[in-house]
Amino acid sequence: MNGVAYPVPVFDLTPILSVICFLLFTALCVILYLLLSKSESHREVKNAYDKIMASFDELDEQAKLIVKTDLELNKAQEELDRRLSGLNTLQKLARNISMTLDEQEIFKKIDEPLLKKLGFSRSLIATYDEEELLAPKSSINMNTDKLHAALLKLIGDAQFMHALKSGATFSSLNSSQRTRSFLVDLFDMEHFILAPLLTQRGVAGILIVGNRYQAPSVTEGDEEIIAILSSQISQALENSQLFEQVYRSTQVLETRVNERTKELSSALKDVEDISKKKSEFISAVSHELRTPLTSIKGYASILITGKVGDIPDAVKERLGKINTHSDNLVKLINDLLDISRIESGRVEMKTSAHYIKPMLDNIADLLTPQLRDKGVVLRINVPIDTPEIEFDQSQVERVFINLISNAIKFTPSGGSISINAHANWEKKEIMFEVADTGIGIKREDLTRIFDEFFRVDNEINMTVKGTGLGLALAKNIVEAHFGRMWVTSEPGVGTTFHFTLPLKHEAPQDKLKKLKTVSS
Amino acid sequence: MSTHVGIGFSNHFNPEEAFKEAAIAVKTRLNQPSADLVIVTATPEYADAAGLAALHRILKPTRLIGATTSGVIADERVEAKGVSILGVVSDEIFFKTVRTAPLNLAPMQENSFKLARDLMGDHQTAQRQGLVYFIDGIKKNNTPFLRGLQEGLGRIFPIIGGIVCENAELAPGKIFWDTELLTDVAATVLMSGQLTMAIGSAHGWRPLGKPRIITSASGNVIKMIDNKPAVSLYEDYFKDLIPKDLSAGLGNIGLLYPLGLSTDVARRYTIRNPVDILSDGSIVSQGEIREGARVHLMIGDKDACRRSTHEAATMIRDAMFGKTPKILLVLESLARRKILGRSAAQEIHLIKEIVGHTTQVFGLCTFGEIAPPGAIEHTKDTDVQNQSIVLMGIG
Repeated sequence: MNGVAYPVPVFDLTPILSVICFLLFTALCVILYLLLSKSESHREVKNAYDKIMASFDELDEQAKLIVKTDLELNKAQEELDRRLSGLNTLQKLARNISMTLDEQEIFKKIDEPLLKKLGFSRSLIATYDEEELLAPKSSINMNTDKLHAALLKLIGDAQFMHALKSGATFSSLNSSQRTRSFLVDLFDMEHFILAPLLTQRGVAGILIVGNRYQAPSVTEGDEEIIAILSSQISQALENSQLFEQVYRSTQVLETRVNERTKELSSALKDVEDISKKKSEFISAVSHELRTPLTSIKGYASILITGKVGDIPDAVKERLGKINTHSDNLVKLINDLLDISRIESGRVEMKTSAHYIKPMLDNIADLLTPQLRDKGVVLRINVPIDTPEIEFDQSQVERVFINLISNAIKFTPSGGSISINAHANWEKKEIMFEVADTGIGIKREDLTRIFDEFFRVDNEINMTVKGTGLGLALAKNIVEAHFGRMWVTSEPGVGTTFHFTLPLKHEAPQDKLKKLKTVSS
Repeated sequence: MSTHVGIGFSNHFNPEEAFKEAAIAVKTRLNQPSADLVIVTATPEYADAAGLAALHRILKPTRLIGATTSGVIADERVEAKGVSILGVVSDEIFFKTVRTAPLNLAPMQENSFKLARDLMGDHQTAQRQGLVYFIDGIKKNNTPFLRGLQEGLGRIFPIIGGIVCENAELAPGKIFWDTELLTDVAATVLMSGQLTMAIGSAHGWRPLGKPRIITSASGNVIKMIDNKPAVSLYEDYFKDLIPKDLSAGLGNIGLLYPLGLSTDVARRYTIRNPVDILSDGSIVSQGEIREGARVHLMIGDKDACRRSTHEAATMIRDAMFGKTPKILLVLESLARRKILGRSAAQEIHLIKEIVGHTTQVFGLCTFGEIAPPGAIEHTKDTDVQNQSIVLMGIG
């Protein structure tokens, strides 16, 4: 068998390979390009991420600053709130303690709720006693058994007491380690403020407040508030002590005043008794004198008429004198009787309404002879609208007659006497003045001028006789009418007697108003 | 159908007298022989059994719950001392109160689930509207307790709660329960019937500094933040101010600068206080923490507090559809009160401006609040929060 050779087809792979190679190369390039570009993008992303992280870190740093500021603000706010609350409490306390003047009450006002509001749980107030030792007056949540010993130890520390006397406030915040340990041990308070109670006389005691353990430490604000509190307590204590002193002084004074009042009352009563007895005596004596005097005067009158036989002229003259002296004596006795009656209230003023002008005109008529004899002019100045007033006419006439007679007596010839009257509606009285241009009264005599039996020592009185009862009687009559009498005088110029009588009627203008009201 | 509400407050220095004064004020306002429900809030010095007995004699309450607090809210005032009593008499609102067994005796979730079932009891068919509770236990994880309640009552059931403590130093609070004063329990009141209820909550805190990631957490403990011990976040910001002995916690710093955990809800943060620091630097909070969550240091101020109050009150107003609530319960965070200081009462005025002046405002300061984040629509997200103001309007 012959073999047949078949031609084997031959394929040229080169172009295919070339294409593949090209494709591979292109893919490689693309991949390379992609890889390159992705790496670029990654770098960008990374950069951006880094930037963001950096921003976050920056943000965080700023946040830390904010936190720091915020913490400080919170702390300040807390402190402010505490202070405001403390001040509010303090203000209430100040009001409370200022309202009491009792020392014990002041201590009672500082109670536990108040202390808690101030942020403390324990307190002690101690003041110096008479032995110059600190004695506890009020304490809250303190071991009272140990207080005396602690206070003794405290005043035993000369260095501390020296600083305290200078007014220093001690606290667990500002004290030296030594003082701090000393006070912590004494009062069993880890956080404390101790302030002196300062008065004008120096340190009167101490106030200590604080907390034991695991409590917030005291602040400067607390120190200030406790310093104010101690000052308020000191002030209140001082006020209470002053009040005590004033109270005691008042008590002593009151006792003395009462004693003196009793003495004076007793003396007054004695005087009144004596005065009454005097009046009664004068009254009795006057009565007893008047009876025989009437007989003497009667007999003298009979003898003078010659009914019991002729009498010589010399006797007649002497009988006339007996008669005149008897008249004077009767007048004197009558005046004395009147004074004693008025003083003892046995004379009732028979008042009725009168116009003053007609009465004064009558008196002027009565006294005209004397005025003419003496060459003295009398002027009566009473306004037309002077109202009617209520008085006892016979008595008030005596007053005017007395005053005018006196004026005539002491006014030299050519002088004048004026009687003035004017109504004072506000005081509801009429004021009268009897003024002369006489010799006047010396200053030292003015105070005694209304005394009974007092007669001014002058030439006229030496020659003209008088009883010294006229002015006393006039004053008594005026006062019995609820009026007043006084005198003003200037030697060599003249004297004015003033007196008032009450006015019970309404003012003319008021009357007019009423009339208008009625008519309208 | 009517509801009578009365609020009484007293800060008489004698606790028993204070209870009497406040109770008499409530009685006068209620003008009823007895009260269907009484809620008591009192500062620690007024946690007084004799006072509670006096209250019972005067108001004869059918049900009573309450808690001690560092601040009582009574109508126009926020007080650091005193006792405040809310009394309600109603034939349209029905109340049921139940308390837990001691919280330490059983797991929280089991305890609260049992409580929820007890609450449902005879209220199965009633128109249940909302639950309020007070719980003692500031350092516990409160999330399981809430989950147990939600398991029993339903995930979207409106719940608000207050974690109580007696002061800023975090002394545990006491719970008023009928005639007793208890610790380590929770007391609840379930409300049902024909009523309108609204919830509003807001916190007003704002994030500060850069965000960080919780890289390790377990339950209510944040172990690591950005792979560093959690406390390093505070050390970073506060350096020397952090106490050397961290066993007592961060103190005021934790209150004033809490943590903000960002949630799914846009621009909302759940606020958590660091209540404890563990020896490894972990931070303990009052609610559960999600690993991977973003965390911020938060900062607040008076204006932010007021804005959030405005926000919460507006939520109440909007949800009440023009009706003025008869009662407004307020759970106010202790830290917010600290920030507001003397102007704390202004918040109440602001709330009344928005909600209505006839509303009786009653509440307390709490150390943790349980509420939905925002208005009542978000009840499915109800969680443990801190530093918030929570309002519940009942009308």
